[in-house]
Amino acid sequence: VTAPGGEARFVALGTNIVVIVAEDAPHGLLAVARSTVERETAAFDAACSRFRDDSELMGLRHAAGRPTVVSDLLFEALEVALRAAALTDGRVDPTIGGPLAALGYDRDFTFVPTREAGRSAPVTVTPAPGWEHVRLDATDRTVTVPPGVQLDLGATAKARCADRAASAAHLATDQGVLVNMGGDIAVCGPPPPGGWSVQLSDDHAADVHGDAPSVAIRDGGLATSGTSVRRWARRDEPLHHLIDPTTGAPAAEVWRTATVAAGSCVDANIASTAAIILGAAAPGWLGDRDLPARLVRPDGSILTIGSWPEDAGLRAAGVEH
Amino acid sequence: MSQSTARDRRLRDRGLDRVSSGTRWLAAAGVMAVGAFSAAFALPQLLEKAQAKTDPPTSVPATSAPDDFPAPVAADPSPSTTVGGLSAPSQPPVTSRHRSRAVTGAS
Repeated sequence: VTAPGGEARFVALGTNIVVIVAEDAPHGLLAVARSTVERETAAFDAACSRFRDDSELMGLRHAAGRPTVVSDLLFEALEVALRAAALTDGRVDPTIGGPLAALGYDRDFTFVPTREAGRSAPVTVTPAPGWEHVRLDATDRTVTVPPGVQLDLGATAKARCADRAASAAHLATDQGVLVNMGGDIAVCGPPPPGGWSVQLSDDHAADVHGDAPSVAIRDGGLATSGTSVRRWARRDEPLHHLIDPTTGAPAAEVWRTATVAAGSCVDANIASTAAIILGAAAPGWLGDRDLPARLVRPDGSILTIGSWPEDAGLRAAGVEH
Repeated sequence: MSQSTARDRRLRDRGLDRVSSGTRWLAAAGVMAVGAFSAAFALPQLLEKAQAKTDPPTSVPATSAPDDFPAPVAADPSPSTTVGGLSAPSQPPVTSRHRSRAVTGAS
């Protein structure tokens, strides 16, 4: 029996998943919301994982450049990934799978060798082949990936899954629902009084504590990208997972963390990822798109963009400095 | 006797005044029928077209939902704005004074 309201936690898609329903939600609805979200994450993992040999995405490697019929879900995820690439002029590019693997990130990050184990392996940097080479045909639901191109949907698939899961859980429970997938947050349905309060952090696994800066959102999504997690080293060269597709190397660390609010979680994550890769150009790029954002420099100082609340930034500076 | 009265008498003598009267009745009935048709069909269509011009366009989802999954529903009835292809929230985040139940951060 599930207590009224509350939250459920589990691990999926290689990260921590949290499902929250309104505190006054009737008995049992949290369990319904959780099972709905679990179903979505399981489907995305089977379709989009880069770390499962049996995933549909990995199956495309054997297609040798031939058009391949894919499931509705993978087709949708690929559409979202190519849309992200188009909207960011290629800064968020799904063809970075090869460059990531060349840097050593070729398995679930839990098993990526860190400094000592990877010392002897050379660092290989190769630019991404380019998202324009991936072809989708909606009429027969086929995808064509050139031979040798490895796709990585990490920048968009998890966030898209959060959007779908929040919508589905709201539909199943008729309650306001928040779904947090490793810091990618989607909300759907009526928010609690004052909105959904979300703590801002460099790491999504940080503990909740009262002094940390927090913002409240009422709809859409919130996402954070950063260079302070998923780091490893090769030959003493520090690396992180946010790759600049034009070089194939980790993006310059102009910003330690970028948090963006948007009309959906996937749009927030597209923008936060692009902000890290854009570096110094990120404030103008975000401002041109009316996206409220909070950028944290490596020294902990904070820049807020657009309608992001200024006082949250000031509080964060007090905590982080 | 006026000119119109003489013409009326000639028409009455030829039995044409009844035809003329009937024609007038038919014409009047026709005008009423057209009016009723307009009220019933044409006018609502015109109003609908006029309304469509004033309503904001609804967004069409860029992606299709898989057959075996429920279609995503709108997160909020208030529309978000889209600039440069990315959707902004309908309401910007505000500083929260409540206890947070979620953490956003890199993963």
